[in-house]
Order: sequence, then C-alpha cells, then structure tokens
Amino acid sequence: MLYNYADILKRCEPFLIAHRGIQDHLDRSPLGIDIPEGNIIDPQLRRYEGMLGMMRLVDRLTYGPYGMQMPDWVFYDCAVMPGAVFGLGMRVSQLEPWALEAMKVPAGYDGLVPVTQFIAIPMLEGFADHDGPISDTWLMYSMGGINQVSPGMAPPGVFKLTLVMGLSVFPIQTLYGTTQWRSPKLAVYVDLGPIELVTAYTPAHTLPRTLSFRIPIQQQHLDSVLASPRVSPHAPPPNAVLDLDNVHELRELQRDIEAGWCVQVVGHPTTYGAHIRIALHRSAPDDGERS
Amino acid sequence: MTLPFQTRNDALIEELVPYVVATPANQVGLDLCPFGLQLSPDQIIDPLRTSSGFFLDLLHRLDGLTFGPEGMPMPKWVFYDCAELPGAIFGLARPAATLWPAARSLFSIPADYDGLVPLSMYVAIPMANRGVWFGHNLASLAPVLRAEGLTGIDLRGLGSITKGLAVRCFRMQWFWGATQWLSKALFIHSKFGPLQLATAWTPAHSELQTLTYGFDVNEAKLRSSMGDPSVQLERPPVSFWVDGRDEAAMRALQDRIESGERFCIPSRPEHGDVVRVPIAALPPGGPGLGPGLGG
Repeated sequence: MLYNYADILKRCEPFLIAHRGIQDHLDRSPLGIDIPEGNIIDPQLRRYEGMLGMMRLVDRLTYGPYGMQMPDWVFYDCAVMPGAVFGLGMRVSQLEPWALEAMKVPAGYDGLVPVTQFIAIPMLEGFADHDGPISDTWLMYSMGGINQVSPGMAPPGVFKLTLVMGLSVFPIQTLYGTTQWRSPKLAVYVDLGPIELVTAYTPAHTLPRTLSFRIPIQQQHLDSVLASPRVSPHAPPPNAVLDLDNVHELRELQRDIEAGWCVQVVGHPTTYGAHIRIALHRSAPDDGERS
Repeated sequence: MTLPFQTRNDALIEELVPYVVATPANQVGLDLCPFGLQLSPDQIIDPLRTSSGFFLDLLHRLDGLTFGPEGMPMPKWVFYDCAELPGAIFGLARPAATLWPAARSLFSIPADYDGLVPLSMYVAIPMANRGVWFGHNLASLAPVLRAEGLTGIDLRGLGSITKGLAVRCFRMQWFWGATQWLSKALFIHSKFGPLQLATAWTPAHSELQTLTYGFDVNEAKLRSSMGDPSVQLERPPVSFWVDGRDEAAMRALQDRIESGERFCIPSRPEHGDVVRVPIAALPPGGPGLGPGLGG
C-alpha cells in the first residue's frame, strides 16, 4: 500500500512535536517509518525555537486565507500542551527557491520546513469507560498542509500520508473531527469509513456550515484511506442525499441528529452543475442501528 | 446557595448561579455538584445543540469584553475546537431578568431573552494523562464593570471563586497553565499555593516571555483560592526574584530548568514601578517537569 507513497518519503521527513509527558504514549514508528530522533521536538526546550517558529509561519500561510489562522497562544495552550503535533517536513535543499520565498523561510535557516501538520488533543470522554491512564478518544484539531494553498509546494499525496501516519502515532480508538462541508478534506475523511455526524450545522463554530464527526479507528480504516476507494468498503448503502450548500437542509439534518437519528456520511461529495451533493445513511432512533 | 466555607465574597454564591458547558459524553467526567453547589439541568449547556447557540454567543461576547481591548479574544472556532468539544467551560451567571441594566447593555441582551447571562467563565481541556488538565482562559466581568465606572456592582473575587469551583467541577488532580511574567493573573493563580515552573521562557508560545506553571489540586488549595480565611497554605521561602521585564533572567532560569533544576513561584508577585516575581528553588524531583509532563 505504501508503495505509491514512497516518493514522498524521499523528499519529506516525519517530525513530532511532543513534550516529555506524552512522548512515551505515542508511536514513533508509524506504519513502520521511524521518526528520526533529531525530528522529535520538545516544545519546552529553547533549542527548538526556530522550528517552532516555522510551524507558526506555515499555519499562518495555510489557514490565513480561510480566516482560521490559529491565534499564536492557541498553538501552545491548546495543541502542544494537551496534545501533540505530527507532520511531514522538507529540508531547505528539497524546496524550490520560489517555495522558500513564498513560505518566508528565513535566510540561514537549515532546519526542517513543515509542509503538513496533524494535531490531536485528548477528549474528556476518552477517560470515561476504562481505568487506563491515557484518553482513548482524541480530537483531530488540525489537519492541513501547505499544498492546500499552494499545490505543488510539497509532493502530491502528503495530506493522505500525514493523516494515516498521524492516526497511527496517537493512541486513538475513537476519533472526533470538524471540517467544513465544502472542504476538499471531507472526501479524504470519508475514506476512513462511514463517519457519524455529531453536528451537521454548527452555530457554535465561526463557520456554521461546519460538521463535527466521530469514527472508531481501526487499521482497515487507515488502509482504506491510502487505497482511495470510490466508496469505503465499510459504508452502509446510502438512503439520503444532502446538498452541501443548502442551509435549510443542513439545519433539518441537525434537528434530526438532535432528535436521536444516526446519520453517517457514506460517499464522496459529487458535483452536479452548481450543486455539490453527498450520500448519507440515516437510521431512525428506533432502528436499533445506532451505536 | 452557599458553600460550606467562607469565601472572599459569599454574596456571589448567593446571588449567581453556576453553569457548565460540556457535551453529554464529557459531562460524565464532571462533578456537577462542586462543593455542594448543585447544577440543575437548565444550567448544563450542550454545545452540540442548536438551542445553545445564544448562550454560547454570550460567552464569546464575555470573552471579547474581557480580552478584546488586549487583542486576545478567542475566535468562535477556538471556543468550539479547544474548549466545548474536548473539555468544558464552567462559570457563574445571572438570569437575564435580574441582570443590572448596565451589564444588559454591555452584552446587548435582547428584551425577550430570559435565559442565563454568563458573568464569568473558566475554560480548561484535559491533557493526555488522566486527571491532568490545562487551563487556558479565565474571564470575569468584574474588571470590565470597574473600567466602565460601575463600582456599585460588587463582583469582588468573581475570577478566583469561578476558577476554584471550575477546578473542582472538572475533577482536576493536577493543573497546568501558562501566563506572562507581567500578568496580573498571577495574583489569582498564586492563591492556589506555590506554582511549580515547567518553563520560564517558552519557545512554543508566541509570547516567549510566558511561564508554564502547575500545582497538585487538593481541597485546601481550592478553598484558599476562593478566600477561605481558615486555610493557610505552606509556602517555601523566596530564593530570588525575577524582574518581569528581564528577558535575560527568564532565559537563564529556563536554562536551569532544562538542566534539571526545579523551581516554583511560592507566592504572589509584587507590582510597583517594577514587577517582581518571587522564585523558590525546590529539591530535585526526579525526571520530568511534573505530572503529565514526564514527572
């Protein structure tokens, strides 16, 4: 499966930003690919100031155009203290001059330039049904890369590889995530398997047309992402279709979820003229299908 | 309602009502009767429901009123992704019907709204290890009202009491937080007793002059933080002081922490012409910086 992604690993190196309290709980060889010792960064040590500064820079470039740039303090308080950051980075020598300029890589910087980031933080509910010391439920709080604003800066496929490696790094049994209905990332998340909607319309978010989802993580789900099937082999057949830009439909769906319906996204978004639709599987509260 | 001990301002407990924002799955992990202060179902806000939208907007407005002038208000998506989904928010509120007109105006409360209006909030999220949390936002309307000249409304101690109750509600066993050396918030934080230092100069934070502090949570510390005069916490003697503007001193202290020495902030800072923060050297405590950070 990894054969198709091998070229990425010739140009990119995995890195991990994790403090000492969490490092031992993470897999430093996701998919059997070692994260080099020199790429394991403790965010509480001064010697990593340069790389941590680059992380903030790339986040600004990646999310700034969407109006969702991480406020600077959030990276520390809400990412690297509670959780950790996995990503792929490139050496300066691997980046073309235009890319170095666009990314504002400081002259003389010879560290790793991050091109993707996967940030996960633990959720309180992940401590509820076991006595273990570590949360088994995590929120994928940020998943992105420089290619989403400048395709070609990093190799194709880095997004999927980062997602799968990131999910392998963290001890995740249940994954939560949020994304916008119109985000191209949604198609990749659907490849993980049928994602269950927690919210379909989210006024609590800056962008209400945000969905929140959860999915149990198993190895087969990760394989599924790398294989890019047209439909996840684990998805039930669709029995409804949603127009992603129709706020009325999104609100109706949210109302049903709040009433106890189980709604799963089971297909990729598909464009029909001016409309983008996505296949759903809906189960009524009394269907007995709801987990 | 009253607490089983005296606080800095018992009237707050009598006049205000507690609330918590947490998903149903997260509520299972909370103490919904902290120090006997029972939360009723209408004081438990589910952020996944559309009907919670207006209250969550009021929280966002409280954050803006508190931090807006300093340029640090939280975007709504940060509230959602970094508070409501993974952790919880606890605070004290007042029913709109009994809200002071000035506060009603600050929040732009519509005439037909009869729900709760949050006057304070404490936001924290769990870290990977059970019982270890990171607190990242304390907002109180008290300084806002003072700045507006509304000195007749007595909200003394609102921030401290909110944080103490929140820490109990979240069932924290060990607390971590981050703040700047010059911040007045250190006055509140040091009420919990000596604060162990994990960083004195923080390379991952946009404000490098940030310190990371923590403490083990026990009942005496929570009561002390809320102003119970019957509690006296033990505090180690001051070894030296750090000038809140002296970056070289912060970096030097950070280097000593990175080389394995351990320090705490034993008591409140001194704010005058110069801001001075007391530091106490601690005996070596083994590897790591404390629970949740490899200790």
